[in-house]
Amino acid sequence: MKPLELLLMAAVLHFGMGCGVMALAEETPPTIIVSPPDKILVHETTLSVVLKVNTTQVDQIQLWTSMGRTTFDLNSSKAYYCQSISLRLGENRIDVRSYKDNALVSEQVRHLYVTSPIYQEFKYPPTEYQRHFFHTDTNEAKCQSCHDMSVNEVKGVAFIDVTKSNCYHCHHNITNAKYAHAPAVNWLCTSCHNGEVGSDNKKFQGRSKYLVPEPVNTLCFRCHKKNFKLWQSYRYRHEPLDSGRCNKCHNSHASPYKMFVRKPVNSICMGCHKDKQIRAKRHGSKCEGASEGKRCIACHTPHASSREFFLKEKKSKEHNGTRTRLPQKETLHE
Amino acid sequence: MNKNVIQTVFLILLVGSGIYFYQAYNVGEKLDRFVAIMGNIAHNLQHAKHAYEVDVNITDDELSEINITKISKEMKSSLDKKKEVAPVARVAPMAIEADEIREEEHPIHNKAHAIKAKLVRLEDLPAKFKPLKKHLHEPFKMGACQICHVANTNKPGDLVRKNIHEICYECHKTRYTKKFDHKPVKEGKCMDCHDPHQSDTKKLLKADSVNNLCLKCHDKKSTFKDRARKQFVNMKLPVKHKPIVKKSCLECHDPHTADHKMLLNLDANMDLCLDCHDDIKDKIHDSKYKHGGVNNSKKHCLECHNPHATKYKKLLKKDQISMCLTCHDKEVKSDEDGGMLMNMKKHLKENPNWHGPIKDVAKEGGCVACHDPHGSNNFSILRKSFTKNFYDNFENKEFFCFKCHEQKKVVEQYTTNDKITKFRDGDVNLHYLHVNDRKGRSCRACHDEHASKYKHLIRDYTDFNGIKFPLRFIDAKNGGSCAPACHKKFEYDRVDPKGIGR
Repeated sequence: MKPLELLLMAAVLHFGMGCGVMALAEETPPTIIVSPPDKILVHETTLSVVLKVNTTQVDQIQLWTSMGRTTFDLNSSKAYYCQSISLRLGENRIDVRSYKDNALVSEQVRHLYVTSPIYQEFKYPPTEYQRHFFHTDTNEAKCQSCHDMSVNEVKGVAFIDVTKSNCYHCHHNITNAKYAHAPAVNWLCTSCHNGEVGSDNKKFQGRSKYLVPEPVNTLCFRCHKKNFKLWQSYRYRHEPLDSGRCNKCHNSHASPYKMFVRKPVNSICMGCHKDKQIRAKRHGSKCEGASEGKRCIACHTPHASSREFFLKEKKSKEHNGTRTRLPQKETLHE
Repeated sequence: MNKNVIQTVFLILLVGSGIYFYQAYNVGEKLDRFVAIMGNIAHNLQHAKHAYEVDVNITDDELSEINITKISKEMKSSLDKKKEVAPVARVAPMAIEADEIREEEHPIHNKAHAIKAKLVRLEDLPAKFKPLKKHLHEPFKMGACQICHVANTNKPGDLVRKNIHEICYECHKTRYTKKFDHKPVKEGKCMDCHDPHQSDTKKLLKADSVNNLCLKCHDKKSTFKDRARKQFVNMKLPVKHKPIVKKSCLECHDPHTADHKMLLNLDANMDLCLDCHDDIKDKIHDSKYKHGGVNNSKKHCLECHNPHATKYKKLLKKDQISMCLTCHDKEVKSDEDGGMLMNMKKHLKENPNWHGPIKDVAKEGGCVACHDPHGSNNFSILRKSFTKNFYDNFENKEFFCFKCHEQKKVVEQYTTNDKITKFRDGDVNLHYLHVNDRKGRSCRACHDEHASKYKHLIRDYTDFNGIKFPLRFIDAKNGGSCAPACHKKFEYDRVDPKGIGR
């Protein structure tokens, strides 16, 4: 055996003994779902499931979600297990099945609801689902055996190696999409997740260290100052901009689409402006967003304009000579 | 043969007579003086403000030709004038009444005095005064020894008064009433500098020039024990202040008394220097951005410059870089916007790759290649304009960097020339890609203009909206990679292109 492996084994064994004693003392069902609790409201489509498993009674766990099944074998030395899963919009059911020698020992179920402000159908979740905040002192104490739960971010200085961030370990899936927002992908989490509340989420005050003040626009405009100035100077402003909810259309972490919009441009617009879609179909309009030029934003501006119907200013910057010279390089500048 | 001899004799005669005339009429000396005088006049015409005195020394010959009757006439006229002024009480000079104090002027000797005194002819003077020197004290020249010395005594050197300065002030009725006095003046030691009888130097100095007289005391090796030695001036150093060399110490200092410290004619901090250096005066007073070292310091000009002589160019106290770093070895508050300027010494120490001008000071100019230490209309007292913004359009702007770096670097979209830029992916100029656009970035977004740990002065962190983002630059053989906040990790390769910007 190589010395490194030996060392690992020793560490794992040592750790396992400690946890084993803890597990024996409790004598409860073989698998406990530490997080998430039942009937919670989620905003992202990824979630971490934390299980506490009595490894003497269980040797395999299966996580059944609407997106598929995840199986993982247990290692007798650990008591707590984390697994990141994907969720779909709307109602989700997580089924945690524990097996011992291929026989089902226990089964536990959690119901979640993934809500999204840009889909009419998922905008208003059923009332039984409640917001839940993971980073409480009791939860963090449980994680501490494996994870460093402190914030190791230096204010105003990004990590050279982002994997060094303590947040990265559990939340790295959040920036996996093609286009990622610089503060998020550099793991400057606390510059936005500062624990403060705004006028829209006052009721959650003190519930979590990492709350984001809502509406979020004050955070956005701290960097995007120029945009703020420009948009303020226009006569009409789009509702999400005016109410300060930039995150309605943009995902502040990452997105598969340019400008971090949550969906392709036209479907984002049609999410709210359903009537336009119906009208377009009925009258056979060619503006259905099939091609780049037929996107809504070819004529309308999504933020603000001094012209009616949010039509673009006559001399928009898109048509300025400088922009057209290198049409394809825009991909570089996200 | 005969013809040749005649020619040679004629030539010898011609040359001989030439030499004779040259010797007889001092042609060389006269020509010299003529050139010097014309030179001074020419200088004065050009620099009216800082004029040289046109120096026409009276030679011994000319002196001998001076008409004594003319002098006596002048004396008479002065005698008439004198009647109007109340006679000066013959008391110790320190007690001269305030209203009798007057500016130093050439004293005119009283003929009555001279007559009363037993005149001694110059030829009859004791041997120690011979040969006579160029400049003679007027009583001495008249042979009126008795003005100062006691007549009819066994000891011919005895003075009429015990203290020498009392005798001097008798005629030179100047009382030094300004704030600061030169120590010998204060102590009444006129003879420390002046000879009472004769000298080869103007003003009857005891040395061959003003400067050498000053350096008698104000030298490191001087045997004087007092302060004078501490305020020494080392004139052996290679870089000297021009006025001292061309003229004398008296350009700035008054040898007797002055209203400003160090016996200066004007305030040492700024006014004195700027009196001559008027090109810098405008810069210091009128520029938009001022250097705190000049405008907001204790010693102003003298913070950096030595007024006399140094080893370093521009009369700096130290070599240029260390001069700047004497203050910039800590965070200094900027006069521009009240922000803190970085600790440059630490920055340079920590980052081994330095920008050319500071790496090769002698050739490229050091800090002052880019910054103007006296003040500038561009931020950070830069000599030319630059941008403070992260994003700026480089088109049609004359940015400072392009003074040395070719603009081709950023304006040619495709190139394979390593001399233009090596920041290429194949033939795609990545400088062009980064810099030319509505969102074109400033050079300083990626490069540190002073020093860096990385090649090509690539920054370790770039400041964007107050947050420091690492560039994560990795150098490779034919290229490299960056993973800044602006984009994900992109590699470039000059030989085997990765397809960026296509």
